[in-house]
Amino acid sequence: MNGVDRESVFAQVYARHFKLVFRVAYSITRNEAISEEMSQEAFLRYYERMDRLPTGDEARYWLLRVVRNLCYNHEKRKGREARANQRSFHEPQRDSVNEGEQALLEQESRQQVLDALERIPFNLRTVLVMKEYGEMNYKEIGRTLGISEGNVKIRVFRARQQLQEYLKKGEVHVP
Amino acid sequence: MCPDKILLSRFYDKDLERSEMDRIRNHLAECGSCGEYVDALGEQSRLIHAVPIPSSSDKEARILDRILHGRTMWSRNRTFTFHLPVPIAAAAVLLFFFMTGLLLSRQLPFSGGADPGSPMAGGELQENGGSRENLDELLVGMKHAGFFDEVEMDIPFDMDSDIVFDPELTMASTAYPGGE
Repeated sequence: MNGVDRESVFAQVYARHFKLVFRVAYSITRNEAISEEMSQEAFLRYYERMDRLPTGDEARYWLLRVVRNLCYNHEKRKGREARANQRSFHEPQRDSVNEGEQALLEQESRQQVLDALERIPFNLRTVLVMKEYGEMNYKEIGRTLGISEGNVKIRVFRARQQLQEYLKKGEVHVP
Repeated sequence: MCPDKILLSRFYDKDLERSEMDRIRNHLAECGSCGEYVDALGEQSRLIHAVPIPSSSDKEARILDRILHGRTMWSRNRTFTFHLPVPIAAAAVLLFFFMTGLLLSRQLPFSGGADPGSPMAGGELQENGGSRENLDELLVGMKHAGFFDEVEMDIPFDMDSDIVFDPELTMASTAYPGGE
């Protein structure tokens, strides 16, 4: 594969999967800058090894696995406290147009959902994120993470159970 | 009998065979508790998707450019840090203070506390300045204190000779066969 072909193939894979990879990274880390960093690193690794890696839809599994591992390593490195501090600086800004009590309620509820998601153990959260944001089925998630389909089913169930418990403690309202 | 919740979770994800899906759907029509559980899963999913995710469109072009042109975020932001081992750093600090002290002591103006005969006394003696006078006074003071009285000198040459020479060297020279 010459340089031009290589860049062309990479650009196609990139255009196809970047949004998903970024969305999954952000859903796990809840930090825009870190998500950008992790997404870039995942695609950079793909670009460096793409002669030996699949293209098209198959590339998605590889990219998601790498970005998940990068996020996991980041989470281990920084720890929960550091992430909480960063989140306060990077959390999405309130919509200045949608004002009033309703907007405030929505904002608080979203924050509660974020907090609840963050309390779920990493392995469960990742599976749930891939299910919800990645729109992947159990088989695809298992393939991405290198775990069995049965294991994915259990993890999705447990993640939902825990999320439900945490959300029950706060009165969540997102219309 | 109600299906277990894992099965309901799979039903919500449409991860069951058609016959199994139908069976649970029929059950949900009759069982309020299981119906509530499945509704809660739907609500949960809606809440998750209600959380805003920042737009990635601005980052997309930027990151692609960095990757294809080798300008990674790390190379752009990387700062060079040099880590020196602690023992070497400590030795360097000690050496620095030692050398600084040494240099300062050499540059100090001549004072009575230092040995006037020592090269460490430093400072140029100025003919018109006060340093030369101070030195004279100090030497006079030392003489009165008997500093020079106890000095003994061995003179290694013959005082009678017109030429000042070392007699031992002269003898060695004459004993040498090739010497004159």
